[in-house]
Amino acid sequence: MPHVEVLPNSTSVRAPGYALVPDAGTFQAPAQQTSGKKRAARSLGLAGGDTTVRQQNAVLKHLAELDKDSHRDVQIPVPKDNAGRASKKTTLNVRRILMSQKTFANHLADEEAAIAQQHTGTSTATSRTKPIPNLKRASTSELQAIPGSGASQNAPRSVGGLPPSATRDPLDDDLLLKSYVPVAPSEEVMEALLSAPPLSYNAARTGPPPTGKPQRQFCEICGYWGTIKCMKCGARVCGLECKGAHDDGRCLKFYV
Amino acid sequence: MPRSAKPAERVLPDQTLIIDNGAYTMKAGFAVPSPSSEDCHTIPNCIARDRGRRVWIGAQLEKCNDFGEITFRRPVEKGFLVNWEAEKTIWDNTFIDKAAKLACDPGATNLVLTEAPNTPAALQKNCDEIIFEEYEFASYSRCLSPSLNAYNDIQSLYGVPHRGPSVDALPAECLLVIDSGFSHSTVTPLFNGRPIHQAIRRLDIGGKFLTNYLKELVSIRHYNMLDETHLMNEVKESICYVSEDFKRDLERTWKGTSASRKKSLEGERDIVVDYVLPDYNAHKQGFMRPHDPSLIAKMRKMGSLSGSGDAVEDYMTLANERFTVPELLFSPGDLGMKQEGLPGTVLQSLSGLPPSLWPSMLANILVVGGNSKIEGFMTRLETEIRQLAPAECVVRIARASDPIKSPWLGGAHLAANRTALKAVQITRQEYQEHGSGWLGKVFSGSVPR
Repeated sequence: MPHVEVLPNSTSVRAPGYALVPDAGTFQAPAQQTSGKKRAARSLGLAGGDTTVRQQNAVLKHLAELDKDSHRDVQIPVPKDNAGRASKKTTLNVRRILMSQKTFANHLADEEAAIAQQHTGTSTATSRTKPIPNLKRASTSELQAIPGSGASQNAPRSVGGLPPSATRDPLDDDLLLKSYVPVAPSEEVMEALLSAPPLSYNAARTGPPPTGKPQRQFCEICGYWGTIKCMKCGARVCGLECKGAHDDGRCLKFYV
Repeated sequence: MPRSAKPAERVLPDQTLIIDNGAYTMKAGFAVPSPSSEDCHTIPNCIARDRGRRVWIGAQLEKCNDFGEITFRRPVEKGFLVNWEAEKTIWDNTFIDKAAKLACDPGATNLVLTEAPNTPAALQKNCDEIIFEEYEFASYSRCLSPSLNAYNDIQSLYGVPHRGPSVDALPAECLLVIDSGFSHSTVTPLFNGRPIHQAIRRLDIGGKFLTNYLKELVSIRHYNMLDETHLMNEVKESICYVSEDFKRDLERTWKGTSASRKKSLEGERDIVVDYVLPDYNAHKQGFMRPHDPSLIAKMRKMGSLSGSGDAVEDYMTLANERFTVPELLFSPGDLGMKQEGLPGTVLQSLSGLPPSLWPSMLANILVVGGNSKIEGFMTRLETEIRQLAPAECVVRIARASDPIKSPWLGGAHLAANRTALKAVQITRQEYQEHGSGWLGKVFSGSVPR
């Protein structure tokens, strides 16, 4: 591994805001030196071939576009004359909130910053990966200690919605017919669960599906299976006809 | 809620206003002893501007009949109430304006307001401050929109006989609410009407996303509809369906190679439809009709012969758009989104719960939100959850009788029970005594009231 050291000389100008710091950690060199933009872009992507960095960015941009309220940025000012309570004195808080031009993205960034700060400060954080304190331990030990009592309170009612003493049949005890009803968690466990704080916006987002299924690709023009990839821009089309339509108007014409 | 009420001398006024403040519409109305969905008003939660640059606020949109190129400003962004400047205008117009249907005096009204799960704390604080300092409601509670569903009679949806009035007042014990709305779709497990926060999961696809996707597809294939969000929403609502067998339907709608095109139209008759676009000048609504090539040929001929007049109508032929759009709710990966579909989200939510709760949750799944009205949605959801769920568990899944107003109705049931209502409401005096920081902690449950 080559050791790179910047030697001070008369021509080197220190850029404002940047500082070179010695890096003690191991430096991960790229596996093979690539030359050329094309190859570099490709090597950054994964084996799938469809996941270069640029395409990932394009997908993200597309998704953000689809989540917008309108295609263009619209500014609709609030009509002025409809204020029925103009005479009322507003408090400082109200004025601050009404004047605020913050979007949800701003609030989200604030929240993430606050969480990051919390993480560095103390370890009490609302992260999904962190298990709820004591939940695991309490649930196992208690369920073993009192196998029946916790169950009789909650489980039969909540599962079936019918009273447990509906019908008894001698065959109910048959091992083959025995239904599996797990023991309901005890009240302490439930209380711990219910009083746990909400997750942050980003932590509550559902995760990616388990790997294994490749992404389905569709023709950009007609929506049928996208079996053919445009050599210029990587978009998917289904056949020659749609490829023609793609080349006419939608090919992004940059080289991957 | 089973939380012990403070032995207080708090007196609440008789009138209770319930607002389920969604991004697309707000569902609002006053509580009555035995509420029904007629008591709930659905008001567009937006300020709109039409192409004549006239501005419409909330309920005024009912009178608007030209939705061409209309643009919206929505105070609720991604499901969260962000812009109070716009929201205040709409609320003033709906609740304060003397002529409004829902006009009320906030000082003599209890307010039950909903919010989406996982709202950032700063937005919650803003909301509390506006409610008490600007509107000065007599008392107020802020709760998760899905959690109010627990106060409805859920068991009757599964066909279980009614258990008598004694249980009516109690929230459902275990309930898994799937709320697929305008901004996103959330899965919320509820225990005795209280949300289990750590297990709430969200899929970032909602009705708005689907509409935008349809808009994009149509703009590529038919007409430029990029400015016609409102129209495309109507198109989506009338034509979209969730396919039971996606691959089969996609094959059936294949246009075929140019040589085989003529005969390939036969098998797909029931999928391919025409949507006739509305004519705002003649006050004509858009509508869907079965695709009929011969009729179209005739119409086109007539149009070209007469040159102008009423005979010409604009339509677009929609085929795989009908099911590839709502398919996104079940496989967001089709657009490269790194999130699991709605059934997988349910399972991810369950994984945040102790396994012993799974059977009760899976046996009590309630679906609310506008997307659940898409044809075939429930069947597909049930099939896929059944496939993913443990084999021992019973899967019962039901759609609320009115999926859009269901949370409101639950809130109305809650408000009809005075003691339950008293236990959740915070009065203005308490707010003035303790401040907004305390209020936020009370509503998040970390401080006993």
